[in-house]
Amino acid sequence: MPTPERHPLLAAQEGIWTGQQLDVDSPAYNTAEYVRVHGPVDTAVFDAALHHVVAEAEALHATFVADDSGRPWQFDTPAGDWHTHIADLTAGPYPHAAALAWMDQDMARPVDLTRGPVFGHALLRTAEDEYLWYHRVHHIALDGFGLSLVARRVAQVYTALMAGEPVPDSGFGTLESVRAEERAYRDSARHAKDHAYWTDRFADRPPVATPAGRSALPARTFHRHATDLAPAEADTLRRVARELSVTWSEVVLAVTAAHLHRVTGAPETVLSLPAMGRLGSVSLRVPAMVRNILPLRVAVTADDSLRDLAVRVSRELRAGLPHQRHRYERLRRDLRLVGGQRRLSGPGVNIMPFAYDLRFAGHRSTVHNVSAGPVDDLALNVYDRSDGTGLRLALDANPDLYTEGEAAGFQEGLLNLLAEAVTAPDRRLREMDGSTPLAVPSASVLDGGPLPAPARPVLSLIAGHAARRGGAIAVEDGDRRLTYAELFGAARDIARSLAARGVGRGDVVAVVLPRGADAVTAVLGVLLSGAAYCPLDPKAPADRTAQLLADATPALVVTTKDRAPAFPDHTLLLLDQPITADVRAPSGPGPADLAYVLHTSGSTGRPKGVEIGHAALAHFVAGASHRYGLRPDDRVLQFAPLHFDTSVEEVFLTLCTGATLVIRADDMTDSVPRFLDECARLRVSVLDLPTAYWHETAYAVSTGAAALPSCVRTVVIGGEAALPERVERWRKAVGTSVALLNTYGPTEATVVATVADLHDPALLPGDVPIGRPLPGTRAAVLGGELYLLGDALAHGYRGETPDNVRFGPLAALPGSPRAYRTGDLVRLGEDGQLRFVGRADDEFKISGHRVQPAEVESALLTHPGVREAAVVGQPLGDGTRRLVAHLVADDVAPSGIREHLRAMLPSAMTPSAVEFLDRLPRTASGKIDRIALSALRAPAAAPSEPGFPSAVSPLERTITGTWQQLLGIAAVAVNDDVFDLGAQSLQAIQAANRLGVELGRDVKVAWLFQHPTAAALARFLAETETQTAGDSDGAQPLTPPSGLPPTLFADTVLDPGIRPGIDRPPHHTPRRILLTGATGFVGAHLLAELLAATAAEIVCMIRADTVPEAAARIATALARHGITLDERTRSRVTALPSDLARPHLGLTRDALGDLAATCDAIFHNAATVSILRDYATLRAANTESTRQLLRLAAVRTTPLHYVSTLSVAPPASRSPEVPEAFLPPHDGLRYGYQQSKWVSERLLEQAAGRGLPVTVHRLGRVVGPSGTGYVNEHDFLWSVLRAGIPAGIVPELFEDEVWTPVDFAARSLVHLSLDPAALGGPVFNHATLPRVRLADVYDWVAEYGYPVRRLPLARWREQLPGSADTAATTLAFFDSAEQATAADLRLGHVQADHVRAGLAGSGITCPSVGRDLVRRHLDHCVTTGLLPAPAGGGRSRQPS
Amino acid sequence: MPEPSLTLDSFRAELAECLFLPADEVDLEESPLDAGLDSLRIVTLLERWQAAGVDVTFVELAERTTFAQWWELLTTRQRGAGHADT
Repeated sequence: MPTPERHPLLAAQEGIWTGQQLDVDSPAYNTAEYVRVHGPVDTAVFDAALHHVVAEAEALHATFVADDSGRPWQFDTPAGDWHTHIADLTAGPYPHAAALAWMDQDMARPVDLTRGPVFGHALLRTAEDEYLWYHRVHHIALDGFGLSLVARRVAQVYTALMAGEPVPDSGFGTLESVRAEERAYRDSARHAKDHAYWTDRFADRPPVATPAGRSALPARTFHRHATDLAPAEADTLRRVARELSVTWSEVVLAVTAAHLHRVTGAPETVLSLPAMGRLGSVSLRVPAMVRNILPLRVAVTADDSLRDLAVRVSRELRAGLPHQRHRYERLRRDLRLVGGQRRLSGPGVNIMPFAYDLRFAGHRSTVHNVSAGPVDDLALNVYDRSDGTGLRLALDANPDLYTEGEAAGFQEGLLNLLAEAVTAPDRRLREMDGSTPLAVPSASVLDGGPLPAPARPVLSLIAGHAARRGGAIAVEDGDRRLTYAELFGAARDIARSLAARGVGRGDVVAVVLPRGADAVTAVLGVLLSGAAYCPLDPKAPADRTAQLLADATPALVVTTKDRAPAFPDHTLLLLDQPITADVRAPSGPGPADLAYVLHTSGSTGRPKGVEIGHAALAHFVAGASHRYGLRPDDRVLQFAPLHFDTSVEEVFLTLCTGATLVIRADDMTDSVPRFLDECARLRVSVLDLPTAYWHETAYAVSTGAAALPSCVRTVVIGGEAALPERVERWRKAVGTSVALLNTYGPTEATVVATVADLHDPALLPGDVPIGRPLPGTRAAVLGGELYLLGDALAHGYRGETPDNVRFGPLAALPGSPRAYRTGDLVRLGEDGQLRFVGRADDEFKISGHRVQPAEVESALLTHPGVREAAVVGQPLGDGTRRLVAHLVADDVAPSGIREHLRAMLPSAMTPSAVEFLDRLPRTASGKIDRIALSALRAPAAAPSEPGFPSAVSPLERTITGTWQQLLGIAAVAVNDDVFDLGAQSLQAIQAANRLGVELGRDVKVAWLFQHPTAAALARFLAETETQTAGDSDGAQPLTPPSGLPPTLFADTVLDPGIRPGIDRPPHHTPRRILLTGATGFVGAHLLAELLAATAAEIVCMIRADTVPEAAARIATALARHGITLDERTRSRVTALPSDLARPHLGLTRDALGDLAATCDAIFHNAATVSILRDYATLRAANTESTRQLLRLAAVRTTPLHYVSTLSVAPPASRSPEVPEAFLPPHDGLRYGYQQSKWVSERLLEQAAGRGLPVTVHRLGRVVGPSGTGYVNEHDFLWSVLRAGIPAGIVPELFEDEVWTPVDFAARSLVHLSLDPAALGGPVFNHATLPRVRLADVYDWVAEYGYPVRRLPLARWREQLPGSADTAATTLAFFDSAEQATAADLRLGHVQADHVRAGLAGSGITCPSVGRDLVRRHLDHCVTTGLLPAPAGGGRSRQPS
Repeated sequence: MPEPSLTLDSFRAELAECLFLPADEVDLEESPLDAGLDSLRIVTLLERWQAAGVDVTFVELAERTTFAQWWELLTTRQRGAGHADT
């Protein structure tokens, strides 16, 4: 058969293909309509007409298959023999309903695009003179217009055939003409113009508001609610549209936008409009799939009338329509609105103006849509009914997002609004009735409830503790302790001294002090004076401090003598000088006075000072201390410096509760283990950590490198989004008994506004909410954006700044209360908890600092060489970002730029990378194209380059790999100074922590600063290692047991670059599977089982030079194991010559890339099995192959299933149990093979920890299949038997062991790996069968007719005649002196619950393993000549 | 009175109404696509012209790339052609 011709897909088809791949078994892309023919139909002629038209429609003769690179192609495949389903339903009671039910069933069947046909037809008789012609087509072949072309043509052909007239020409154009037109368009100036229009129109990526407030993948089905507009209503609609000079469809769009506004409160809606995309195109005459989607932005306010909105819609539409050929999918990709909750547009409105007036041999007909394809969210379909009965409105809803009731309610509300709006086109929306049908108010409001008690001023609370519990410790700072009485007294002295200088209410006092008891005292002193404090970073660059002082205009600066010269123009109060105090007590602040001014990044390019009043502070303290459950006996660590608002939480919550504030020393965070040790020593009970630092803590705790002290009962985190992966790690390692509070809040709402209990066991894995508002605080969600309300809001920003508009009345709520618009996009879950989604503007966080690009850009522009600057936060693979500056500059070095910035900005705002461009990319309207900039350099997940110079040591590679990942740079050389590359201190903490885990030793942060190149650090680490090895207390968490090869531990480190790559949708039906070791005993059976259990192509990696050689090896192996395959099945086996022991698995990079892109699962079964060889000679084939395959699997997060051995476990003498879990190092690892498998498991363990889908299958002794008795001649035990039986002696090797027939093992393994219902793992011990006792085996051997004596191993070996046969290797094994203690081979109880649970209900069982099996094995040995026939003729019992 | 025959002026006027333009600003060399016409507007125009006795289909209009070509098509399809002023 000639190979069918193949063609690239049209862009619209690619969109459908991609969608289908997300859920290959989904029938959602079936589209269908039925035509009700009012009159008799000659079914035979109709069938002939259908076959005639199908033959003409090129698009219906197609199958779709992806090539090895994953690119789909359309193949010209004749539809072949297909039948129209013809049925007469009039005999039943409800023919029409029966017809619709039949259609529903037909629609529910997914189409296999690789096989076709992509269409189906039915002719159903529903009344004497009424037929329904049902026509289904996969959306990849036809769009709605294409369907209409086909329907029109069927009517024409049927009519001609009935009249006995010649069938006129179809007039259909070719698909090739459509393809050619699309190619021409892609290269045209028009395309460039269209692209510019859309990217500019959506450059700000407007939030998409929907009633559900979240998005979901299209479901397999949808709810539909259809309503007909009566002719009179439809006429009114058309008349009003004419009056407004718009079309009726624009009125429908306007009303839909208005209703969405009412339901979501969003100031703007973005609708999805399917567009024909055919004006002026050859495709007007080609049944094909070309339709596009136009995103339509409509701003709506409550003051708009229908007239306003309809005109707005009409203008927007007319501006967009000329650009309708630009692909929607492309725009989403360019705007980076793909994946997750990101989307470009919301509910769909599909206007179908084509009144089909089809006549079938003169008989009238009406057309009815069955499905227009998958429904993402909501889709309103509007049909102009051809029979003059008005309009039909069908609302489709995604059932994953809306209940039927909600969808019906939405439609009802929409229709009510439509009716009212056309009656009064000038009535404002706010004056209209319209019930709000979905139970969602116009703005979703979350109320944290009332405060538990009225908020009391913080100073009064602290004064109360000083008065009543004056001896209690308020602050502990190293050896220094301040009681409440002492603290309050010292603070009062400062207040008096400030008063003596005329400082008091209404003033601001800058506090420039490091974290410490003095700083706390100073802050309280300032507040007692009546003034507000403004904390400044004592380490900030002078320019920065000057800028903040200019903004804050403090009346005085509190600092120490050594810092005094930095403030020549300010009145100073030096804390380390004797204080002159006024005798008069200052008046103290009132609730309306400011408490503090704290600076945060500003969008105008300057930092902005947030003014927090005493009332807000008191309000926050009352709500938060109640919510956190602080107690007077708590010891709270002050982690944050004063210029972070977390310090407000730490200081005031603690002191207002009467608890003890424990000041963190600077060196406490040298390493995470050190940090936690110190927390234990200081008996800290409440930790308040920046999320970025907590991420590191969670990682260290989860790997066992550090432990959370038992004194810690509550951990509060905040500052940026917590990574779900770290939350999972934490929950696994720490459990749920320690409270983990995820806090969210902008400085503008006083530290914290919402809190979530991440320790709540009910939270699903991967779900990291930011929770509910604190008592006394309210949150409102409008158009996806979060607004905060309540008494904890700031007064505003200091001075004049346009950012002040963020504070204002919120008109969407009753009474228009004052609110702060956060700019954070959130989602409100059904559980009433908020979840952070992203930012509405360019702001992002680096190491917990808010960064407005404008602020960094204006600092960059002060450099004389910089002409233009744009700063973006480039997302890195692990969910964090790095700051990248793009510059147009005259001859300046990146180091010069960074130096310049370091003098002006805090380190988090200094870009990690500086890129030079000839000009900045701009959108058509002249704005900097930040999306294009982010795309300029895709952050590499940095797989360590295989081609790296070999001179680099593994330790250096580990260090550079860690930095590559942290910095998001593709290559870090061993001599690169990481700080020149832009490393920041938080990243140094991260690097130290990760290195500590990877290397199994403590790595201090300071060392990374002292040794900033990988080469220097590696040298230093190597030196200290030899030193600490001699230390008596050098307890290292991962000290290798003695006697293991030194390379072994270096090999257990999985390169940091191997991490989950592109997320793939789970493939329930794998199409391509990679298998290693297919020629082995287990491998051949695995191959057979994979072929039987899936329809996939199995790519077998075979050690060979050519494909024929590799194929021949597979054929030989299958034959040897008695496995036969039919021709069809054999065609699914692909032999891939390769070599697992060589770099890149002996493959080219292209071949590796192809495998990574196309394989849906990997089974790694190959290993060099040798009981004699040492680790060094096995590591390449057995360990490095696992590493290479993990690297391959990581690219697309492909599942990797590893075949391991129970022999990696410690023997019974060392461990009574073999857990179904990864194993720590143990001194039972004695043989090279066992070691090589254990190291592989260690690599898989780390891979699993990083989120790669891996499973490990440990097998015991794998014996021949239960049916055939085939014996694996390389098997250790059978080698022993073959050596011993002829000599009449057998050794006492062990008591009993786990046997598994190979066919059962293969079936279980494939089932546990591929069946999505088979949960459990990642480790599976295949040991569900009763153990086989060696004594029994010898009994059965004797019964069979071989008289054997049992001897202790050593004597057996002595008495065994020297032999040069195949058992020589086995014997050599026993010759090595140490092996005499054979009792060590026995394993303890082997847990196998994962396997048992996974096989439950699968129907996979195994016949008993015992006497019969051993007999069959012995039969096999005799038949094949492996053993001489027994003298007694025992084998006659088993007829062959 | 039956619908008066289609004239260039009435053609312009109908386009103008669709395009929110004064009739004398309708550029007959512009394409329906660039003018921002959607299917519904074309169908609306089509129905009017069919009612005025012009035998023309949606596809025929939609595939033409200037309004001038529309006019050319309409004049050749008008029943009792010859009345058309050009």
